Amino acid sequence: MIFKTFIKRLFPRSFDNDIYNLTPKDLIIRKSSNHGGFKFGLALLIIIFLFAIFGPIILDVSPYEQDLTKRLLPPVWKEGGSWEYIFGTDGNGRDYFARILYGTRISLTIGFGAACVGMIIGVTLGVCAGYFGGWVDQIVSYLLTCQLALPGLLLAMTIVFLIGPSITVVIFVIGATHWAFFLVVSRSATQKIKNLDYVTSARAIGASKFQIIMRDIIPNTFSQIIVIFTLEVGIAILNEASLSFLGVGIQPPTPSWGLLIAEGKEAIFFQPWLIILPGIALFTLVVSINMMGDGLRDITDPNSKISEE
Amino acid sequence: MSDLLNIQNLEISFQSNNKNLKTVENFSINLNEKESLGIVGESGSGKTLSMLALTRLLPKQASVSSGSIIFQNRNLDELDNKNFYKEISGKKISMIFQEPMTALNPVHTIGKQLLETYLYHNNVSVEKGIERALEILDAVKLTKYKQRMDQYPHQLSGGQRQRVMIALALINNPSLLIADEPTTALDVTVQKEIIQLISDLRETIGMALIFISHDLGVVSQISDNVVVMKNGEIVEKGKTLKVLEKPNHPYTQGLLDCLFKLEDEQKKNQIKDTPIIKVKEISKSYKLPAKIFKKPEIIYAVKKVSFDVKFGETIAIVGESGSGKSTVAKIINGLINKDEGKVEIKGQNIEDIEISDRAKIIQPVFQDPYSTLNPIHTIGYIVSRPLTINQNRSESEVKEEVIKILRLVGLSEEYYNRFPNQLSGGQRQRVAIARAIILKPQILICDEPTSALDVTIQSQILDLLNDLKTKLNITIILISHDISVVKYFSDRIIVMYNGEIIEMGNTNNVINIPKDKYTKRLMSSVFSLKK
Amino acid sequence: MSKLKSLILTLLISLMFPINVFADKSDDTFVAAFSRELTQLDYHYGTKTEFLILGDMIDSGLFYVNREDLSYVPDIASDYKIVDDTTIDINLRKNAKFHDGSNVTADDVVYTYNFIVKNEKNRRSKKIKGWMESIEKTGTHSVRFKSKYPYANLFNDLYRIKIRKNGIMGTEGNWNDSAQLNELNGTGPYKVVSFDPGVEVVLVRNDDYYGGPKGKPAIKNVIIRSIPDMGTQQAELMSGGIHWMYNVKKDIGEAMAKTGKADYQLGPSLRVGFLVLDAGGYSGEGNPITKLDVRRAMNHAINRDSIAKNLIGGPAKAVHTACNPVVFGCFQDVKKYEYNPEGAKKLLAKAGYPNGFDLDLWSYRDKEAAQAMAEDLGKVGIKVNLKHGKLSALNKARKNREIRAYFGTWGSTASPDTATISNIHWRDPAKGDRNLSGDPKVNELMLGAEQTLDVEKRKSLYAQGLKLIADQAYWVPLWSYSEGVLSSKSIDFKLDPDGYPRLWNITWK
Repeated sequence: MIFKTFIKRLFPRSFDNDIYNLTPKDLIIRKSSNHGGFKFGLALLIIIFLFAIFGPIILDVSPYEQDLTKRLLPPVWKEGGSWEYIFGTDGNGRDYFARILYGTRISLTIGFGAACVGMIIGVTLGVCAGYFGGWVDQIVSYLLTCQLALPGLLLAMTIVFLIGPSITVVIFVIGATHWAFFLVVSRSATQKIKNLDYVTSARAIGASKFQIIMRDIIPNTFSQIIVIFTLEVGIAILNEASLSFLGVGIQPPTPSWGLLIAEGKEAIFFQPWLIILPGIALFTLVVSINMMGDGLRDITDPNSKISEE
Repeated sequence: MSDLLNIQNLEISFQSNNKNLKTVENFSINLNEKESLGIVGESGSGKTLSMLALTRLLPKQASVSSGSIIFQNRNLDELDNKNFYKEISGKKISMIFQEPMTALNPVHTIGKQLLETYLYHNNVSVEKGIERALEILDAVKLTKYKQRMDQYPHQLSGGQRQRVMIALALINNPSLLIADEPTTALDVTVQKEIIQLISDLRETIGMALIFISHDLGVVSQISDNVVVMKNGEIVEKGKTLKVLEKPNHPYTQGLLDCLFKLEDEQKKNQIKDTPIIKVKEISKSYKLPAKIFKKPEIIYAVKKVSFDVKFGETIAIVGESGSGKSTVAKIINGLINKDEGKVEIKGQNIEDIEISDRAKIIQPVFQDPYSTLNPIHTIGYIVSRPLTINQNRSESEVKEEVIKILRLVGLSEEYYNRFPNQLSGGQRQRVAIARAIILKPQILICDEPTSALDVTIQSQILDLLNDLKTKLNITIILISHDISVVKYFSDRIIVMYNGEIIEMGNTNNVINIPKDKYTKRLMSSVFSLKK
Repeated sequence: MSKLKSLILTLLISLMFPINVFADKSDDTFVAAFSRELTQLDYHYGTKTEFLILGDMIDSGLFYVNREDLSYVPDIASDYKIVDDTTIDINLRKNAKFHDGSNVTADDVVYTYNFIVKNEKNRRSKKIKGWMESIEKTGTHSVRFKSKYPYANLFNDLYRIKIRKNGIMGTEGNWNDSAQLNELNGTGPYKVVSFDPGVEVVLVRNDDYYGGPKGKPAIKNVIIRSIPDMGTQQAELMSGGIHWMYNVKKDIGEAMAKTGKADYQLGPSLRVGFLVLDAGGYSGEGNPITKLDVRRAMNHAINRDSIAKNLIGGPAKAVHTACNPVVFGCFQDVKKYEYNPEGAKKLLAKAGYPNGFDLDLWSYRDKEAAQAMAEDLGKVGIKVNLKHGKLSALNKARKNREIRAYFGTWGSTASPDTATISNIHWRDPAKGDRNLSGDPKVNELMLGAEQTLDVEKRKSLYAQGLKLIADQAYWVPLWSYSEGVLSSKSIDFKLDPDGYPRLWNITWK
């Protein structure tokens, strides 16, 4: 496909047939260029990103401007629709296409932001627990049990309700309730790596614990962590949609997709596009992220071989 | 005597990149009944693949692209898979493998597995099957075989499991037994017993044997004829004694050279009498996690071990797995804390030495070339790291030093920017050695530095170590289970068993005139070439 | 074998789902849906309109609001005599009976009112205690009320208090608040058959009902189901599971009517909407809302007509007073703030906020209107952070004096007198948290208008009070609402001019 020729030109060395010539980075590029799911997910995600970043700049539409005389107009493909409002309007006469477009930014920001927060917490705890073991590990295991026992969505709702909803709060709350996977993966990876000879050798040459953790252990857990990261982005996006749907996430008039679905809920019989369109948007975004994540998991699997299509 | 097995021009190809890669070509062997054939080669030579083709156990991407296999005057190609498994595999031709733990099903008892195999191929009652199972377990000299019938694989030792695997293979009285490196994973003393067992059984049952190994010594003891493979092709064929005495092919000659080298006497280094390392009564024990209703078990890895290492000497610590030799090495290196005793390096207590100073005195070299280097660092970074951590030098100075050391271990400058996955096993071990010596330590601790390498590479690395020894005047502590390597390399030997030192002395003395019973057993297990 | 398995599985699964019996005209059963849950039966312990509707079906008060002209007519009472400003004699009808068969006597009435006043746990207590001096039995079927001052809204309270049987709520010092929560011995046109709190209540026509101004109901069985989700209500109406739903917005109602499956009526309602502003600075001294020009600017900024017409529809329209123009006492000649965003901006600049300011606006209903208003305010520079949540959260925040401005409404259900809305909103701040004006004169005027029976005096006091409120812009009065009802084609239901759904008057077509 076009993708592959493009990549081939960018990274010619990756496609050298002599495997011994490939650096680890080349190997990853080569394997990714062969993985259908990964390419599809990545392509879709890039399109969505471009939409989110440049859409609002290029297209002159406003998600906030209300026109109460133009409420609940149907999308262009339905009877009564027009090209002026491609996706119709909502109950306040706002351009629905604009609202969904701007909502992309919300979902992406919160998704990646929350996953980052979760990653920082989870990986820090996991690597410490895996490397130091002993009472550090016990404490971290206890924290993990607590985290897993708490009902995530309810806890998030409560905290947001107490502190007050805003994008930053939502990002931190979702991140702080979703670090369990990161911890488990980085902990077990650290335990495995800690016993490898190159870590022992680093100790022998006098590297400090900090240096060993930063230079030897964490970089080698990266491939596993990145897979968890992509999956958590999807989860965070859905979580935010749930919170906003329930009213304890993003506040109106900011167009979060979850909020759009909540607002359109009553009109499900007569203006179903109010729910269907943001639903499709959510679905598309999460599917693309998940496909990318699955692809990454296959690509970074140390036992996977390069298979040409 | 008619041919039992006749393989003509076997060719095995792998499907990859839409291309067919021929991994084995022109493979032809004849085997008579009751004949024993050895297939020798290094990793990648195709010795295992060719036999997998015979037993139809090739991996998915591989297939027989041409050639014929005729067994007992029957062309095996004519048999479909179903009939092959019913009539031939496990019945007339049996195979045993290297790793007995993965060959045995961990969730079934020994008895069940034996019974299953026997009853599949023979239409008899269960009682008869049990009778036969007991019979064969006795034949493989498995101790307490009656109780073993109800035990699971994990309750047996490595050697015992291998006996069970042999029993499984022989229970149906096959005409041909194929053994693929059956003893490589076992301790040396056990190795000898298993080889002896196979040899004896062959005589009693009267079956043919194909023995695959990389170990010329073992092959020379057990096979009448030998076939040498390299890169998927047979390079030499013939009666074992003749091939070993007068090999035709240079490759075979090369293999022999490696072995012979280890049999020669070696130059001694300049040894001073002053001890550089003093080990006094060190002990180390591990507590197993406590189980309910049981007191926590304590394993004594090292029990009151004492010895001195003289400046400039090479001392080898020899023992089987579980002897404690690696633990001693790690304690001396400061990587593990001892429970009792004293370790003095150059007169200083090891606890009193700063880590950065210690790094400049004593460095380790490990066994597994595939885990000894961090896969995401470049070679240059790996080798320069000891310098950047412990010394404050400019980037260019460091790079210069690294390139110098790389050349010293036989790697050209172009390896500086390469990654470990781009290097072969031998090259990686060279890098590990370079990393160990760049700080110019006075002591190197090599823990089985060559066990994971092919024979030819092994000898190269040992040569390198020898070379460095003389050039840099390093004291070396060598941990090994391979007596031939030890003989080639070291001045003194320490023999350990169960955490204690059994015997200690000059290499020649210990090897040729062992005092202790265990040492005697150990030394006699070494397979030297039948001359 | 597998076919049998799947058959058994299907049977088991289908048993998991309750089978809905669709009730309708053929078995004389009318099913209505309420959005908010009926958690108990006793009107004295609830305030929502839903409780009043149910209360009117199963209970009766001394008086009742007539549907034709919205005047107060005797119900359990047969007639009355105003003796003087603070005394009223009431005669009871002789044929009123409780659902258990016993007659209603003066003892029951006296007991009921004393219970209301003395037990502080019921929600009518404060209001009645405020004016009632005493009640005494003057005969087996007559009582005399004495009030502390001439109380103008007396009949509304005499309508709201439902008569309970003597002794049924316990005795003084030992009140049984839960006596009538889950089963009720009332006097109304319907009896309670079964009650599943929060789910549904099943009623049957009381054939011993005395008649009275409510009339005898035509339909025998009534089921009222609590269905909080508007979408589910629509589905039920379309499939025939319910016959009637109310509080239906214009968009949904018109769309449903178009499908031909139901009738939609959008009629007048007494409910009004408004923004309450913290003029008194309770949420922070010197905050922008305390400045008169700011409050006036807010009044100019909001396009009431557009919201009333486009979002609510029907007879809804902009109002400029702190009351619904159709009720008694709602004086209309007050300062009116026309929609004028430019003027608003100028006022803000004059007040010292040329670039506007940030404002937390609390709301709990009518999300679209709230967002429309937020947008309007935003256009003049007031950046609104819309805090749209549950009513309970808003009540709590208001109690804690955190609210600077909130969007509220008041139903004044079945009580066409300004007193109903002004009593609670302009009370002395020590007695309630809704009066944020910080102006004692408002309290004096607005509550004073309740404390006399002189109609002219009342009108004058309300006129002054409402003028003051408009002038000082203590509120931003918004609009009067419309009441939307969807009813199935098989029933005949007409909305009354006060928008109060009198379900006991429904008939089959």
